[in-house]
Amino acid sequence: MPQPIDREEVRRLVDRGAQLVEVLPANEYEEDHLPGAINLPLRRLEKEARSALDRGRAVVVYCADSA
Amino acid sequence: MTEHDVAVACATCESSIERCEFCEEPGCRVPICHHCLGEALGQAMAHPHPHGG
Amino acid sequence: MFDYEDGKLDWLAAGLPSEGTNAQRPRAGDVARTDVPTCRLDERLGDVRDRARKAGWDACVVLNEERVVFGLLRSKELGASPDLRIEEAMRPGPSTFRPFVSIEEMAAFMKEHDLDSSPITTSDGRLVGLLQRQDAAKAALELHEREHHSNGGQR
Repeated sequence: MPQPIDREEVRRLVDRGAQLVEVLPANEYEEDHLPGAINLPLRRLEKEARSALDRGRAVVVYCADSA
Repeated sequence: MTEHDVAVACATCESSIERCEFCEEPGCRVPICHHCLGEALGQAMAHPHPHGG
Repeated sequence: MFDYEDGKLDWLAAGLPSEGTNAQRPRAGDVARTDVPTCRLDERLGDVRDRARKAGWDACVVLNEERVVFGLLRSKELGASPDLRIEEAMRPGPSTFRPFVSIEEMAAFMKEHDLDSSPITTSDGRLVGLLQRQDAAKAALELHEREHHSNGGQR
């Protein structure tokens, strides 16, 4: 179960090399995403995480908001 | 500023509002409610700090 | 694994940088004037008006120590009795807008509502700047011309 974090913690983790993953559909990712974030829509996350992500670095996932 | 603001209708959804949430002017020709404005601008329009009145 | 629960909208509402096609289009936070005069609740209106006008402005944003917006003084409010305290003269709790709102939308709204200026703040109410109608209109026009004349209007 992912650990919930806030904005400041995101910045701290990214400064220390964490990977950012936006789980929204591709078209939303293309319009706006956090700097350096990659796009792994939710339905592909489980399947592609292994190949797309570096297991040695923390991973931060996010979507649009908490709604 | 009178306390007896006449309710106006949101030009988008027709809900009753005290004043336009964009310009806050009682005589606005195209008043818009908080919800419709948030939808139009794509933002959650939280008003400023609660202590700000 | 960590979950940034408040998500992308929280990030953008805080005025933080982003990437993507929208990031290349000017937004309210990019065009807002950060040099707008500011003042405190307990100041004297006359002093604030003189300071604002000396700086070439007819508006002033009322902030607390943490730069949270408490009120706004436009031309009408600045014209009140000079001995009033700011807290009495200001327009309290004005409608504010997030930095990521499209400049085209803001320009259109400001024109439609005949509004000269709009405070742009982060999601926690901190001032980013004051968006002036003429600046919004100019930026929206430049964007339109740029997009209309490049790649046949491709976005």
